[in-house]
Amino acid sequence: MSTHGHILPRTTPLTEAYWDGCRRGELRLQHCLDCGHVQLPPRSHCTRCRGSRLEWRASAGRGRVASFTWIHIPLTEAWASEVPYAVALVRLDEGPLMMTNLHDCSESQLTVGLEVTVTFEARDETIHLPQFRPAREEEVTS
Amino acid sequence: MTKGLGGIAIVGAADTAVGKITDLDCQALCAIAAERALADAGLTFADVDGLVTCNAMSQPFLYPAEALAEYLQIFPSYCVGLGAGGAAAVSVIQHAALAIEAGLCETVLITMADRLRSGLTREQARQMQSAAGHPEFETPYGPTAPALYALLARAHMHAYGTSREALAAVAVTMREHAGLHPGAQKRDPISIDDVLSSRPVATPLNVLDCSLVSDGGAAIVLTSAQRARHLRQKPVLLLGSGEGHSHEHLSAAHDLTRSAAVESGRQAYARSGIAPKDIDVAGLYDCFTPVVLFLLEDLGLCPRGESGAFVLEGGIRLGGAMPVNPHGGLLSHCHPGNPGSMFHVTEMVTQLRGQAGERQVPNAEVALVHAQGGTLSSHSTLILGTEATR
Repeated sequence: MSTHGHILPRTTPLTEAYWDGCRRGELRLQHCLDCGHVQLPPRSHCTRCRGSRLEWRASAGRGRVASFTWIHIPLTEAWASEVPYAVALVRLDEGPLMMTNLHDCSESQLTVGLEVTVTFEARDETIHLPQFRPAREEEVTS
Repeated sequence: MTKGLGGIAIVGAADTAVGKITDLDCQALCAIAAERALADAGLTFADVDGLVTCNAMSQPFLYPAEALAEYLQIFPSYCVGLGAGGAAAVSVIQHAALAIEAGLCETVLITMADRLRSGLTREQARQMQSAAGHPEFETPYGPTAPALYALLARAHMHAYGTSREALAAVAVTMREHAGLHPGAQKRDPISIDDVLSSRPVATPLNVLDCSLVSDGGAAIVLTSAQRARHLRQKPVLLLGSGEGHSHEHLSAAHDLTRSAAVESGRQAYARSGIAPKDIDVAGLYDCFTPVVLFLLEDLGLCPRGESGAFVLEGGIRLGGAMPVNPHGGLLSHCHPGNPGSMFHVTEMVTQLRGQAGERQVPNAEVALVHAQGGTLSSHSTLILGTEATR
């Protein structure tokens, strides 16, 4: 639990580099050096070619909302002051789908397909959680 | 063609009371369901040499099947505790049938119960809620179980233009059916407007789009079809089964508008030689309203993308093209957790025997049961018939 009581991620030795990236303001993804596949969550092997030559690279931190929900009954008390809060699935430009919250986003603004940009929220000293907000006009790619 | 399971029959089926049960624990509910299912079959505990159960969240044991055998003081040669979330109750039937076919045992008792309404501590309830997400990449964002299904609902609405009213119509139909079942937990009729104006949980889902929280259990007894002919009830034959597993956590789903029910259903149809058009009545897992829409499409019970219109036109009502959950399902009959789809199974047995009274689907000869666990993650399909179907 963080000081605010939010449930913190249960990290593993394999995901240290991911959370280390987050602390540096980088959303890191694993790239397969053999087949080029990009994956998240981190694994020991590439899920496409089963190869083990994986390299961490920083994502551009952009994506589109694939689906979303506004939660009115919170997961725990820690989220109670934030209701309704948005949980979304975001398809990163590099390919992976990830779950996130959406910040600085109104209920009318949030739609499937909305372009979003990564931002980081410090939950405690070690966990800086990747979060997303709507992309600003100059960030919109297409 | 792959071999079916036509040599195995369900010969006994029974439910306990459901809703709020404060004077019994889960093992006692398992025992009561078991006793009733055996009596229904005309058998006794002495006939049972196989036992299958799942863990009860409100009364967990490290080895739940062994603990239940001990409680019942039966000493089976096949004893299995299964975990696949909501899919478990249907998946176990396939496992039990295989054990009989392989000669490991002759008569299997499948009994499960849980008390999610009165039996969970606050901490157990919290753990259950937060266990739905991936502990590292989902739960820190605060998704609840309904929120995960809400994400699927939204994706379906976006892809196919499915209306909010279509989701509500699923809940309305389940309530209408539960009104015809004397044992159902919620029997007062509701309207689409009632669903739309009920308390928001995770948009687009409101409280009436979510299944009940219940105490209760159910049991069935399986044996060879040959032996079944000499027992009390008209045998219900296992014609075919299938399973599909595509992901555990929603963010690992490859498609947000289609589930591994497609693969599960395909196997069950191929093994049974039954086509979707031959199904007279279906028991579909309905923990949240959108799940019924997904399953109708994935199992080929209506065209892809058209489940919303199908439900709004009364397609899943008794008398409709594909009656679903005449007992009222998880949305209105009861949802005690892992045992939830056992009630779909016992209802299909009742329907195929022609014993469903007011809610009987006329001349029901072929039934499909489908359960899922996780977030449309693990899937299990079963096709049931009678001697007339074979």
